Amino acid sequence: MEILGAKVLSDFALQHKLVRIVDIINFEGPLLTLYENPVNGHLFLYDWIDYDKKHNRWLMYHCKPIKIWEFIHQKISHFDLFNAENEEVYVLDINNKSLQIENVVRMNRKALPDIYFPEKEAYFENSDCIQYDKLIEFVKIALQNKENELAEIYNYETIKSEHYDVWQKYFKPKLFDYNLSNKLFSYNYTEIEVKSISYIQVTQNRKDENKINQNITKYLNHV
Amino acid sequence: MHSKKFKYQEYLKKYQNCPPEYYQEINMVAYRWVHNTIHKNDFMPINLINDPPPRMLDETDKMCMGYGLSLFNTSLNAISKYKSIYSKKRKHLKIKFIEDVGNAVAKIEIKKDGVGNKPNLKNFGHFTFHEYENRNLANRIVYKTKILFDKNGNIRS
Repeated sequence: MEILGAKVLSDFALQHKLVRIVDIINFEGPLLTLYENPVNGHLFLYDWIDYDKKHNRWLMYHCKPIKIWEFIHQKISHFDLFNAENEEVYVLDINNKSLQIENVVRMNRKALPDIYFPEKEAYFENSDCIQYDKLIEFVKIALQNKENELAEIYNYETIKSEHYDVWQKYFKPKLFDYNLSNKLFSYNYTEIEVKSISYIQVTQNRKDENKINQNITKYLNHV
Repeated sequence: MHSKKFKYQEYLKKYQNCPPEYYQEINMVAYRWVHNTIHKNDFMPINLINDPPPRMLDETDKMCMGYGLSLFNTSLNAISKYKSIYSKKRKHLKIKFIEDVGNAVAKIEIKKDGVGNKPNLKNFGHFTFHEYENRNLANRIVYKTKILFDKNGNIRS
């Protein structure tokens, strides 16, 4: 196995909080497995990357339900899924026999050895998952929960209807970030404008409420 | 309950209903990944090659089916599933995959040598087969087809 120079964590507690949900890819054993933190609903992936006589090495990383949904619908590759979030990853060495984690390293994705990155053209196939229906159902519910969470946190609602051919909405971020405007994204025909700390206006040049909802959700997912 | 004794019975008895009762006696031509030159693990269940089973995350990964053999209903399905798994693996794990499961597909004539489930048509016709005691599928090989790789390690179509 590759020797990793990053800091080894001695007090790694997260793993004990996670609940195994389903193997997204399994052939004669798990290869990519979905876990949930039941406290906050956050999803994590265990991604098998290496082994030696004593250990199996897994990457553990946070992943948004929308990205898992896209992955299992072949919209993005394993490589895209892995790179969907610009966060640090955990490298876990799990003892083959005791199943205990004996080594945990936290490091930036970019610092990982190249061989640990997934293949760029590796796309999910339904046959990869033994419990495909369970996987779909779980991610569907996780997506719905995410929507509810966003609505609660950001409290977005319609305040204006039509003005000419413009459809507008606003939403309030609970925690305002002064760098928010730098993080704004525009999707298709949508413009997002920070009017004040608690008033962010979304404008779309056509009457399509579903589209504007999707764009707000997309935006919030990227903030 | 199945009336005949199985190979590896000492392991199977640790599980309830193993092999499952709905598994039926098999009498058909099937295909299995093997090494092109005879290898001791070609007809060894995965859980016995590696004890504990590979990549275990918790005890639920120790399953009854791990003491059976993976087979496919057609040669094309066997090769397609091999390709599907192989092509998605990271480069260094591709090498391990070949070492573990081999580089050829064997045609096997199964003559009531054990029981299995129905080929899963959503998974390249894969099924799990449990041999009866004193049987050896290695003796049922009709021929092997070698899987060819190009210089970049990709499977030739």
